[in-house]
Amino acid sequence: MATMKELKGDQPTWCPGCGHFSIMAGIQKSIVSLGYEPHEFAIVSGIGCSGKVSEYVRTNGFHSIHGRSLPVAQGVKMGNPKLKVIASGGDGDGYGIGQGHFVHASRRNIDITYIVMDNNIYGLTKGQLSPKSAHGFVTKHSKQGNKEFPVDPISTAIVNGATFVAQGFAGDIKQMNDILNRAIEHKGFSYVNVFSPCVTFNKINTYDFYKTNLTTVEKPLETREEAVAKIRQHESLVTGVLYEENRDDFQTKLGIEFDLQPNISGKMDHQLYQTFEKQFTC
Amino acid sequence: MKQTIEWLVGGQQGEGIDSTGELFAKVLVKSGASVSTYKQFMSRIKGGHTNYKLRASAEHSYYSGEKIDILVCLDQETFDMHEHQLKKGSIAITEGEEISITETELGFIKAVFPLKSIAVKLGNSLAKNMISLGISGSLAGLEVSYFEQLMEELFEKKGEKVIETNIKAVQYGYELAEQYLSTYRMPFGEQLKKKAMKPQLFISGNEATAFGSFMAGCRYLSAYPITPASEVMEWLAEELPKVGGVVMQVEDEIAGICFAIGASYSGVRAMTSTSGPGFSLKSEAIGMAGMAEIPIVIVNSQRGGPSTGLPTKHEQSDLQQMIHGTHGEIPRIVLYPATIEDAFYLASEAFNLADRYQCPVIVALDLGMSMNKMSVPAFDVDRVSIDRGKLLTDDEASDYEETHFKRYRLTEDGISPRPKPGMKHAVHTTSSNEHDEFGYICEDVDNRIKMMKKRLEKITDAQIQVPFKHNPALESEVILVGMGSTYGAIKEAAAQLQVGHLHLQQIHPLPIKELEKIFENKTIITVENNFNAQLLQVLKQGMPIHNRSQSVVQFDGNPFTVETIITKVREMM
Ligand SMILES: Cc1ncc(C[n+]2csc(CCOP(=O)(O)OP(=O)(O)O)c2C)c(N)n1
Ligand code: SF4
Repeated sequence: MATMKELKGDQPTWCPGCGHFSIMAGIQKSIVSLGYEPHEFAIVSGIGCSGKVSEYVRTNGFHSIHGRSLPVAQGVKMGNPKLKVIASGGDGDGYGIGQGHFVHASRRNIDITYIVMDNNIYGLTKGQLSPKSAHGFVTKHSKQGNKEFPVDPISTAIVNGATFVAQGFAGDIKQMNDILNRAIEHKGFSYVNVFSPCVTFNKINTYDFYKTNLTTVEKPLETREEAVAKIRQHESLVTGVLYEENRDDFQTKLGIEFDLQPNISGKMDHQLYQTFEKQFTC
Repeated sequence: MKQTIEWLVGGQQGEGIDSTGELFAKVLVKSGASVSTYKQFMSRIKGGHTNYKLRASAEHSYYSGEKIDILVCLDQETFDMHEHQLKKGSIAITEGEEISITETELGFIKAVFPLKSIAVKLGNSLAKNMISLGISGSLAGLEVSYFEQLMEELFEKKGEKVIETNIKAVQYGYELAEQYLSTYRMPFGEQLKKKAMKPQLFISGNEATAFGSFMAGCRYLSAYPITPASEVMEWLAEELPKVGGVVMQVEDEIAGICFAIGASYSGVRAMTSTSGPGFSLKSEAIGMAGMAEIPIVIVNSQRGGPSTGLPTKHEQSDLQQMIHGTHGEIPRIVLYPATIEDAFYLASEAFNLADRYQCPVIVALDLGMSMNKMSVPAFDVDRVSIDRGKLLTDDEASDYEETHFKRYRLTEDGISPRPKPGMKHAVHTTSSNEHDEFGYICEDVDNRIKMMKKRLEKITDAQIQVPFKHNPALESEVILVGMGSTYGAIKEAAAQLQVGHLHLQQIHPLPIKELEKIFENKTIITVENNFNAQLLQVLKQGMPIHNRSQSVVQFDGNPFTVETIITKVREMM
C-alpha cells in the first residue's frame, strides 16, 4: 500500500494557489485510500500546466503531447489491461486540440479514468481563451470578449456513451476525493471534469466564483436525458457524479484472451509460420 | 521457347477484373512460373476503367513488364488504351457478335468472340471472365487442371454449382482457343513443369509486411484506413486475434500512432500503418516516440496523396518527410524493402531495431509494392530472430533497487535499460519534453547536451542484414540507384545497359562507409518516382558525389518501364 510520501514525485512548479495542486493531491489520496501501490498505476498527461501532473505524482508517468493523453492512455491500457490508467490534461488540451479523442473515448469505453483540470483558460501559454471560456470572456488577446460559446464537455461525454461522468471542484477536496475514488474503481471509461482555478490568468472563475455558483447533485441522474437536462439547467455549474452506468468495457466486448505481453527474445516460431503461410501458397 | 508471357485483363471497375487477374496469376504460379503483377484503378468503387497486368517468366523476375502478349478486353476502353502495347504475334481477345479472327496491320491477332452470349448460354452472365481465362490458359500452354483445382479452393464456400459452372466456362474457353486459335499458341507453360513441383507464395507487399510483423511478435496495430496501406491493417485484423493480438481502427491517424505508442510503452510490440497524408498527421507523435525513446514501427505506403497528387497512383515522394518529418531532431530509422520478399524480412527487422534502439522505425513501401502481388519463395524464418533489446524482466529491473527507476540512464551506447510500467521495482517517468535521467523535465544546459547526444548518436551504427542489394557491372562506370518497387525495372534496365545497379534498403541512417566504396569513381544515376530526386538529395547529403551524379525521375503516377529507364539513361551517358 502506497503512502502519500511515496507518491511524491518531482517538485511542482505551479503558481502558489493553483487549483492543480489539489487535484494532484486528490489523485495521490485516492491511490492511498484505495490501497494501491505506485507501480500499479500509469498516469498519462498532455501538455500545459496540467500536463506536469504525470511527473509530480510518483507512479509510472508519461508526459505525452498536447491533446493526446487519451489515445496514449487507451493504448497503455490495451497493452497491459492489469494497469490502472489515468489520463489527464487541461481544458485546452482535452476540449480544444483533443476534443475528437474525447468523443471517441466516450464511445469506446476502455477502462481508464480521465481527469480534466479545467481552469477555463490556457495557463501555460499565458492566458488565452480556452474552448471552455464563457461567451464574452475577456482576455489580453480577446479584449472585446469571447465571440464563441463554450463547449459543454459533460453533456458531450454523456450523449456519446461515457459510462461514468462527474464534475468536481478543486476547492471542495472531500467531494473531489470521493468522486475520484469512484471514478478509479469504475469499470469502463470514467470521466471527471474538475474546476481548477488559475490564480494567475483567470480573474473570473475564481475559488469564490465557484463557491457561490456551484450546485451539487447528491446521486447520479437516472437517464442520460435527465443528466443532460440537469447540466443545462445549471449551465454546467453542477458537481457530483452526474451519470453512471454498467456496460462491458471495450476489452471485455472484444471477447478474446489478450496475450500482448509475453514476446521475448528468441527464434521465430516455425509452427506458427507454417500455419499462416498456407493461405499464400499456390 | 517463349521465356516470358505478358497478359492484361481490363474492364469496368466492379466487374471482377481483380479476381480474374488474380486467378490467372495463381494458375501461372501453380504452373511453376515467376509472376509479377500490376493493378491500375481509379479513386472510385464502381465504374471507370481498371486493369490487371502480369508478366510471367520462367526465371525469377520482379518486373511486371510493358508489352502485352495476350490482351483480354472486357470493354472497348481496354482495347483502345492498350492497343499500342501489342506487337507482332500478340493476341487481343475482344467481345463481338460473331466469331472472327483477323490479323491487323500492326501484325497482332484480333480474336472476336461473343463472350457474353456464350456466358448466358452457360447459365451465368459473369462467366465471360472465365471463358476468356480459358482462352488465355490454352494460348499460354497451361494445364487446365490447375484452373480446376483453384476453382475448387476459391469457390468452396459458394458450393458445387458455382464451381461447376465456372469450370465449364474455363473448359469452353480452352475449346474455343483450340478450335480457332491453335496456330497462334505461345507454348510457355511446357517448360515450367519441373518448377511446378516447388510451391511458391503469391503475396502482396502489404501482406508480406503484415506477415513479417506478425512473425516478429507484433501483437498490436492501431490505424486509420487509407489506400494503399489498408491491407496491412486488414490482414492483421483477421489474423492477430488468433494469437491473442488486437487491431484497432481508431478515430484518426494521430490516435493511430498514439495508441500504438501507448501499447508499446506497456511492453507490447506495436505498430501503425498509413500512407503519406496520414504520415503527415503522425509527425508530432513520431517526435514524441523519438524523444521519449519508445519503440514504434510505422509502415508508410507512399502514393500521390490528396492535397498533393493522384490519390490512386504510385509515387515515391515521402522520402524526405520520412527522414526529416516532425519538428526538432529525433533519432529514427527508415527502411525501404526492395522486393516483396524483403518486405517480410525488413518488417521483422524493423521491430528488432525499434526495440534495440528505442526509437521510431519507418518501413517505407510504395503503391507499386503494397498492392501488387508477386510469386516468391517461402520465407526463411531462421533469417531473423526476435531481439527485444534492453527491455527488462521483473527480476532484472528489481536488481537496480531504485525507488524511482532511472528510465533515461546515461550509458555507454546511449541506450537505457527499459522497464515496463507495472513492474514492482521499476516505477518510472517517461517524458516527451527534455528530461533528466529520471524522466523529469530539465532545462539544464549540460543535461540537454548529454541527452541530445545520447538520443541522436545511439542509432549511428544501426544496420539491417542487407542494407542494399548490389549487382555490380565491373566494366561500367555507371551505377543506377533506386529504392522500393522499381527494383525489377531497374534491374532489367541495368542488365541491358550493362551498368551497375544498387537498390537501397536502409535509407536512414545511410550505410555510408559501404556506399562510399561502391560509389568510388562511379557516375551515380538515381532512378526514382518523384519530382525533386529526393533519393539523390539524400545521397548527396551523405557523400561528396555532387559532380558525378544525376537522376531519372518520373512523377506521372505510373511505374517505370525498362524502356523509359534505358532511353533516359542513354541520353545521359
Ligand atoms: C501541438 C501544440 N500546439 C500548441 C501547443 C502550445 N500549448 C502548450 S500548453 C497549451 C494550452 C494549455 O492549456 P490547458 O490545456 O487548458 O492547460 P493549462 O495550462 O491551463 O493547465 C498550448 C496551446 C503545444 N504544446 N502543442
Ligand atoms: S498559470 Fe494558472 S494554471 Fe498554470 S500553474 Fe499558474 S495558476 Fe496554475
